[in-house]
Amino acid sequence: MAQEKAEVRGPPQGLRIVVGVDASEESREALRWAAPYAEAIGASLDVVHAWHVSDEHAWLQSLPPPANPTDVASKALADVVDEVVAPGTVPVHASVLEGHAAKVLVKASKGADLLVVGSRGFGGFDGLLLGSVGAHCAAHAPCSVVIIPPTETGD
Amino acid sequence: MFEHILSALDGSSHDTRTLAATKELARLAGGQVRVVHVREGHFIGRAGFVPSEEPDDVVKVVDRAVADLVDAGVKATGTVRASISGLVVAEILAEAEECGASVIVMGTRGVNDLTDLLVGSTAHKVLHLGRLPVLVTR
Repeated sequence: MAQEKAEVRGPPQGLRIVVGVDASEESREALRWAAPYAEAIGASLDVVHAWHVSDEHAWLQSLPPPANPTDVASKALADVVDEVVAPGTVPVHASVLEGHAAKVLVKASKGADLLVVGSRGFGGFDGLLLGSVGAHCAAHAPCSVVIIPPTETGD
Repeated sequence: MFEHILSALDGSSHDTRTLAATKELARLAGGQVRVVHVREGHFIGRAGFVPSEEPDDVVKVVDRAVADLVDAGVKATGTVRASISGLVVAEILAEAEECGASVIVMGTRGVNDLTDLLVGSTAHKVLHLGRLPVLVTR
């Protein structure tokens, strides 16, 4: 479920490309692919990070959180955007949303022109080339989807 | 980034969208397009390789696509490859490697609609096995 949006740079307008970003190198590659493409077609980037507490860690919710997860994620996401996207090249709107990444990205891509995701995110197993998020997005996203494979050095 | 684009067509109505996306990518950087259609078939005893599509039909699929791209000012060539059923992906990936593709454009569904309700098995396998970005068109 969407919880909060943390705006980094201007709101999305016109053509919109959604990029799923987590802590993985694959998702950075997705952003590296999407940024020049967005610039070339004059689109904005809607960079989305999803977070949720998995069922196996639900017991942690009984403990006081050390920090607001959305704040922590927003800071991390802003750092990734600043690292990957050259300033002033493309409008970027960064969002931190609570929920399972696959469902959040499919929902966020409604009305978008393209969804770009890494083939295997932070939660994948080594050797599994296409993660569940990538597979879910390819199957359910309402728009075209670009799946970015892992880098050779990242295997 | 989009200098060499492999556009994998399956002969379905969805090819129109795949071609439109291919065209858009190619125009961005003056990219060259390689159109590929893999003609599936089965080995049946003494009959040998029995294709599931007529040769003229698959050639028309590729020729029409190439003509459409060229008319739009895009450099394009096409090829038809043959494969036994189930190994289409290997042919698509081989073609991608041979033409030095930096991205593969393909549809989610095609002639395999009945068996692949969500993502066509071919697209799904390319996503699993490929080492290139794959644009899955809708």
